[in-house]
Amino acid sequence: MESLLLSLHVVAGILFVGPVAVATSLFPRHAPVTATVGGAQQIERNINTARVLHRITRIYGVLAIAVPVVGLLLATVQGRTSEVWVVVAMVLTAIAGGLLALQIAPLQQQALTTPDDGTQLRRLGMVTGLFNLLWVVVVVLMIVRPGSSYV
Amino acid sequence: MTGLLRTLAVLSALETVSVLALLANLGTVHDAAVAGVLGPIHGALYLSVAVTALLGRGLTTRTRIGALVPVLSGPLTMVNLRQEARSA
Repeated sequence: MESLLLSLHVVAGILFVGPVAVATSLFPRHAPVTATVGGAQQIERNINTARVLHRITRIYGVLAIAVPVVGLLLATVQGRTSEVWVVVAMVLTAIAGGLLALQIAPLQQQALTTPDDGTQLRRLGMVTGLFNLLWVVVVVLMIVRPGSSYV
Repeated sequence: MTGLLRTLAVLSALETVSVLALLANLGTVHDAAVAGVLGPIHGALYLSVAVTALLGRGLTTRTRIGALVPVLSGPLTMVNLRQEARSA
C-alpha cells in the first residue's frame, strides 16, 4: 500500500508538476506584447503557442492536485502528518498551488486577452520563478526530511 | 459572486465546521483518534483559506488578515465575504 502510494506520489509529481514548471516558464517569452520588437524575438512571439502553453498550465495544474492529495494520504498511512518536514512541505505546497491558481493562471489569461507593453509579463515571470523555486524547496525537503523520526 | 468568492465561501464554511468539530471533541469525549483525523483536515482547510485569501486578486485587506487568525479564520472569512459580495 505504502509503495503504491509513494510511486503514485512521485510519478504524479514528475509528470504533472514538471510540465507546469516548463509551460509557465516559457509562457512570458511567447505571449503577445503591444510594443514592436525586432529580429528573432518577433518570430518567437506567437499567440497560438502562448495559448497552448496556457492550456498546459491549466490542465496539468488541475491534474497536479493529485500530488498533495496522495502525499497527505501517504503521510496519514505512515502516521507522520505531524512531522516538521511534512508540515512545512504542506504549507509551501499550499502557497505554490495558490500562486498557480490565483496569480499565474489569471495573469496568463490577462496577457492573452489584453496584451500590454510587457509589464504584466515581467510580473508573471517573477511570480513563475517564485513558483518553481517553491517546488525545488519542497523536493529538497522530501529528500532531506529534517525532523523525521525514522529514515 | 465571482468564482474566487464562491470558492472562498465554501472553504471557509468547511473550515468553520472542522474547527467546531475539533472544539466539540475537546470539550466532550476528547478522543485522541478523532482529533488525529480531524486535526490534519482542519489544518489543510485553514491553509487553503489563508492562501486563497492572501493570493486571491481584488480582496480587501480586512478579508486577507481575517483569514490568517487561528480558530476564528473560518467564521471571520464568512462574515467578511458578505461585505465583499455586497461591494462587488
